[in-house]
Amino acid sequence: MNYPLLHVSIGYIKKHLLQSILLLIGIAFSVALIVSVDIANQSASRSFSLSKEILSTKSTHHILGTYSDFDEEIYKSLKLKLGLKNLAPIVEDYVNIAELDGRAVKLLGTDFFADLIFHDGQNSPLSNLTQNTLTELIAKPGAALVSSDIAQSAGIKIGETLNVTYGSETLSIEIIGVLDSQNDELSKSLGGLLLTDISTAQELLGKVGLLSQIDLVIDEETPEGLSALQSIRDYLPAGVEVKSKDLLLGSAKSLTRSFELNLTALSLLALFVGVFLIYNIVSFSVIQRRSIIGTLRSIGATRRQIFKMIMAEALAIGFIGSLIGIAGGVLLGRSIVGLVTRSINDLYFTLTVSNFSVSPETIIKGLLAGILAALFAALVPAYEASSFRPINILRRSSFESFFLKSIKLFGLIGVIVIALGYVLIILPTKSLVLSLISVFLILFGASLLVPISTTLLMKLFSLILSPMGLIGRMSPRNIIRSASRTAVAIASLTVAISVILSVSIMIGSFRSTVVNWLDSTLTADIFISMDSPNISSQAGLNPKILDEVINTSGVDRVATVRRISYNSPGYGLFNLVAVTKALATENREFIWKEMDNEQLWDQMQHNSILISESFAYRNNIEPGPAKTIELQTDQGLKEFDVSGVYYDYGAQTGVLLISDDLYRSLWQDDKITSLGVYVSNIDHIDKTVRELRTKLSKYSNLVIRSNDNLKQSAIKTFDRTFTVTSALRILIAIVAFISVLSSLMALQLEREREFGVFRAIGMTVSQLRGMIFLENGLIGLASGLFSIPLGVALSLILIYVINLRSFGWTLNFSIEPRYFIEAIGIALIASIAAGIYPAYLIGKEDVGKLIREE
Amino acid sequence: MPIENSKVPISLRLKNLSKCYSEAGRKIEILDNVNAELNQGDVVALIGKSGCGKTTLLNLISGIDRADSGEIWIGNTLLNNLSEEELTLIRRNRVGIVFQFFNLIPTLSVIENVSLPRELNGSQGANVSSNAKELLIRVGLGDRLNSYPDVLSGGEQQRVAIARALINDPDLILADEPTGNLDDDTAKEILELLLSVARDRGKTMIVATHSSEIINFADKLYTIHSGNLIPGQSGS
Repeated sequence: MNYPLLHVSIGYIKKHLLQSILLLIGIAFSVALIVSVDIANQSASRSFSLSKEILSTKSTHHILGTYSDFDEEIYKSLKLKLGLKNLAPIVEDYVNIAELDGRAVKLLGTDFFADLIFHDGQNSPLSNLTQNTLTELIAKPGAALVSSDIAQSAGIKIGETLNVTYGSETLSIEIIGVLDSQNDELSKSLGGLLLTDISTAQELLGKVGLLSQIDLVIDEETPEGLSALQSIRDYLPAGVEVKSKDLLLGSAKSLTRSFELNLTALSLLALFVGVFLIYNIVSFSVIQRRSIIGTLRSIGATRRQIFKMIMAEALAIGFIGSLIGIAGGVLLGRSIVGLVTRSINDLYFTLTVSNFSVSPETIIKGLLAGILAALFAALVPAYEASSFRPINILRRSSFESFFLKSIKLFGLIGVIVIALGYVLIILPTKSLVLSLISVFLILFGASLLVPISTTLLMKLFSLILSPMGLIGRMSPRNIIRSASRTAVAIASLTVAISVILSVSIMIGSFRSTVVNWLDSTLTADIFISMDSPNISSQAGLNPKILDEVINTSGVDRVATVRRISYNSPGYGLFNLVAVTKALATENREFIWKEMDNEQLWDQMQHNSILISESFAYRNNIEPGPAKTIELQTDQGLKEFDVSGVYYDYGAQTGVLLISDDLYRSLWQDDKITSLGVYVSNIDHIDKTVRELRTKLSKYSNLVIRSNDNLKQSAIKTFDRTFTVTSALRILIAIVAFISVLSSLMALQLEREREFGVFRAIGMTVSQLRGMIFLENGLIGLASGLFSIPLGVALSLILIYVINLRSFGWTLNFSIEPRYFIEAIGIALIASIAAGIYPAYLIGKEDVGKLIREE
Repeated sequence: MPIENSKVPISLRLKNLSKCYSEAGRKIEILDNVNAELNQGDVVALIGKSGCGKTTLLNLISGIDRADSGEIWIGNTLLNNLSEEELTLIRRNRVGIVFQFFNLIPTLSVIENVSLPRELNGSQGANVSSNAKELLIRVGLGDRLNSYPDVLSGGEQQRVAIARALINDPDLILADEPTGNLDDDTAKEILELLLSVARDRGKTMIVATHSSEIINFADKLYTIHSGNLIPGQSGS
């Protein structure tokens, strides 16, 4: 840029530091949100990847059972018969540490003499283990190494015993060392881990003779590797598969993709609101410099130079704001990572590794987002500045009249953009990206409708407020007169409030749907389950518990639930849930069922299963007759008829419901995950709960809860999964608040000369302040009112399109009047707060100075 | 000090009025010990070079700015000790101001601009409108009542400003370069209008100007030079 112009820019920025600071804050906040969400998403993926790199960072493949552990002979055969090298056996499951509020950690046992362990040399996560440690691990029963994060959190020292629960059992583990690595990356993969010798893990987890996984290194790029892979596939029995690490990571990512994409969309919304903020402030800076720019033009600065000057300012501030935003995003990311990981643990699979990493791509994304948003938002004001005529400087009023003439065109374009967004929604596709694009189109279209809507609404307000006198009539007109600025402020506030409103309606609808679902599904009076059950754990209750419960006085009947995590090649990860009659069809709400409940249960005894809505949606199974599902069982591959599709809002991975009898006949599994107890006298529930607690006190890690208690706990988990959404919602509100604050404040400050005239002709400070607050209040009220239809429309899309496409859940739309009151309240607070500083200033300013001629 | 409502023949008295500004750490004496006394109905021309302090003096008289020392009396009301609020009420009720750049409120129609000072007093309704209309007819804008300032010529805008200055029937009219932004013909028309309305209504008027026309028609002439207010005879 030309040096004198650069000097003009710097001088301006110095003189109007507050504006530049607000602009920086707006950009920084928007970028911080994008960066933090990206960090959280990437960290969650990396956590999953790291959890697969415990034995070797270079393991490429894993051999896994489709739904259960497999015979350890397979490992021996792979080594001896197929002559494979670089592999290691693993026995693992999730256990809970009572001292850490039941935190789930992975108990993993391996063979420390397996050649894979030493494959990475010094880069192996286990390279620090000394010979003595290894000997002790192998020789001492119940001995384990604990990861440093657990040791620190639990305050456990070497030689002490750590009590962990697995199913309804308590396991005593002697800690003989702490796992750590100087290498940061390696040390992360060891997080949330209890490492034992393979036989110790087999004994502790009741998996003697079984393996959970075999890790191996195969180079698929070489013919030898490919041939080895083929021979493994040929060798493995049904129900055991070899999968590449990338494939596993991919399927984990595909599961959490929708969740992460929604978070990314929310963070982009903050940037969307941020663009309004940048537009407002840059546009304001152009108006303030109208005469300077006119002078520059008259002494020979070209339109291109003026355009470049404004764009260069936006670039510089965008760059600095982005850098601040990146730093803020990294800080914020630490909190968001925790929230995202917790939601993934609740919804998808257990993540014990807590990784926090900031990739260069995240930094670049943040930087680009901030800079591009700043440049994009500055385009129109820069064009406006470059259009100033050198002799007759285009006055603001001319631009405003041009803007007012264009509002019908904006409105028309807005309607077209909204229609385009609507078309994208009704397209017969399941694409989440398309539906998110349609949301942005609708928001953008609605923003374009704001100027004309504002003009109409303000004309109405002018009539309503005319009994207040001139101020009442003048305030709405002032808003119309500065429409190019006020409409943008109203649009940004409308967008932000409508997003907040729509998310509130969506969460509220979701909550009420879940409450109704829990009421109809949780029919038993008392529930007995493991404490802190892990979504990925295959652990179960001690089968003896069932007999003891049945023989307890006051117990009428008992229903059982067995839930296993199933990973099938055809259907991905889902939960297979075996239930007895009471929990199978009674009160269950169906999207579709082939027959009445009695017949359905009869069919389920033979060959029928029920599937949850999310399972059907994810696997493209249209509810209706003649659908079958093939599953690998202990009796071989078996085909099941789908006799019903039901509503379920439990695990997002989807549920396949099977009768307990059929399950036990096809799978060799006698475990029970939980029990539903029906009492003979409903008035004695509490008494029966107390009795059961006494009777079952010998079993650890058991939770015995009444129906109400369990529902409350389920709702608590539900609320927890939305913590991150709620947090982002608040952050968007902050960006909107800064946006409105800066634009309205700038608008009022810009009018200081007009205020000076008012003061000069006899308007008192309090009358002037009243006018400022009235105008800002009207702007807030307009934003609040506009946000209601937009927010409701967005909530409908969130509920019926995005939520369905993301999670496969149909929610019942439910709305509460308080959402609207909140929306208008937030808009009013934000806009009125924006008037505080100008109102304060107006009492301080020297009237003579204010009215001094240009 | 309470503001009294009664109007008295002595319209304006300035006693030992001084005002200075600081600029880049330097003290600049704008007005130094200024004294003057105007009777009701006096039309005064205030002249001097640009930046000599004409606007500053008008600002002090209107209570927009405060003097460093000395006294300003409008009628028998001393402005010095009045609060901001009280000064605003003085401006609204007893002083009418006409600016060089008209300073009309763009969102108000012509009639609303004129009614504004009256409405700020809480008065509304037909009476206010009728007074405003009467004044606008008087200044020759009876057919532009509902127009907005942006469609008026400079001369028309200044006519509206004159009507606005008169709506509360002030004791004193202060006009700061009222023709400075107008062409010669229009400037002449506006001056004639100002003089006629002031004289018709017996108003005291101070016009800060460069225009030789008003110098010829003013009752008194004051020149500000080096901070001093020097009296001189007008051409009439």
